[in-house]
Amino acid sequence: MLDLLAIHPAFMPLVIFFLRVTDMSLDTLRVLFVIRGRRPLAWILGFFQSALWVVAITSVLSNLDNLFNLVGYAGGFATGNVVGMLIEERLAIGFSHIRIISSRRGSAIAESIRQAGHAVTEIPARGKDGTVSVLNCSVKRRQVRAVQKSIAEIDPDAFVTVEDIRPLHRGYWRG
Amino acid sequence: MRIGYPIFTLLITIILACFVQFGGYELPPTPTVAWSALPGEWVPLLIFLLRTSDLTISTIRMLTIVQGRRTTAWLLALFQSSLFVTGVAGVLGDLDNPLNLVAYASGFAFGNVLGMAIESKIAPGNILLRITSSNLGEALTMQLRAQDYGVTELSGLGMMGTVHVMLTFIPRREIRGVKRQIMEIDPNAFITMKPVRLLQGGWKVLH
Repeated sequence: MLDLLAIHPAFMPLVIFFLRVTDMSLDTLRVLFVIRGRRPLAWILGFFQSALWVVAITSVLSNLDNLFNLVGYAGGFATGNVVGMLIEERLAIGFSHIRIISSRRGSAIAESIRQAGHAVTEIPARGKDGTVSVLNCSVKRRQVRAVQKSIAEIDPDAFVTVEDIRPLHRGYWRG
Repeated sequence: MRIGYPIFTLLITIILACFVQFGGYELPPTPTVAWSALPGEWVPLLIFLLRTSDLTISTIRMLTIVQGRRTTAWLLALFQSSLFVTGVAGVLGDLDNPLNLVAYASGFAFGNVLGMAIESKIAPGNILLRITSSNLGEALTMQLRAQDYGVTELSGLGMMGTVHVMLTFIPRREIRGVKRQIMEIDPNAFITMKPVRLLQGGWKVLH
């Protein structure tokens, strides 16, 4: 337990805010890693988050007797969520599958993505107004933004979606 | 980066702290609900209801985190934690009789389910449907396009010959209606769906 009584009451809301932000961003990160199946990371985060909870948050909870502390608590809880999401987005661990549907410039897009060193699978398909190309491309998550930029430069009308994947067997990955 | 609102909260916290430090203001007490005024026999029910509402919000918040909806997650978290401190925490302490414990556990479980149910009713965002049909692909595509859904058709090979694979990106809220229509035309169609994030484009965006 932390001895929060030693802190000047004026700084209490801030201390509570930061403790809760730390705790909740770890918690949010843990949830996101659990969903992506990153077991070791989820374990480590769970360990630290629960340790922090027992040491810090339990002493915070007994100090919520005034309104400012409550503002710090609720604000920290909410902000921790967002901070955790931002950190996870920044870390961008894992792989993504990009699906591009382009009516005219499919082969040009495939060419440019290949130039950048990624693997693309082209599939011919039909849309409302005739033949289109479906391009499937699996990249590391942190490369998604760059790939999307090069697609948008060639065909701003292309329909692009992205989803998280877990690679099961081999595949061609640009490092 | 759109992190204006968390910074805003931090600033308010700092300003409040300055008021107390330099302005000599008294700290107002946290408003809490005085549940102890209630007769004792209502306590299990109260525990159940409060735990349910807390967990409902918490579950919806988890789902918004996974979908990457930052602002909604932030607002739900703000609401959930305020509710917890002012209302829920006051009654959760007295778990000394088994009935209260049962109410606590079942409220926790029920809140989870309720949160998932509410989230799937609200159903924000879009989803990618993949429909595989052995011989009624044309009819399905026409039906979906007639309703202004964008459809991309692929040809595939099944055990009994050529099949149609259709990709369509629709609002999650409309899944049920679309599925019913598909089933009316081809009850044997194979339909899967998965959540995808839209990076750019799409039929609805173009038109």
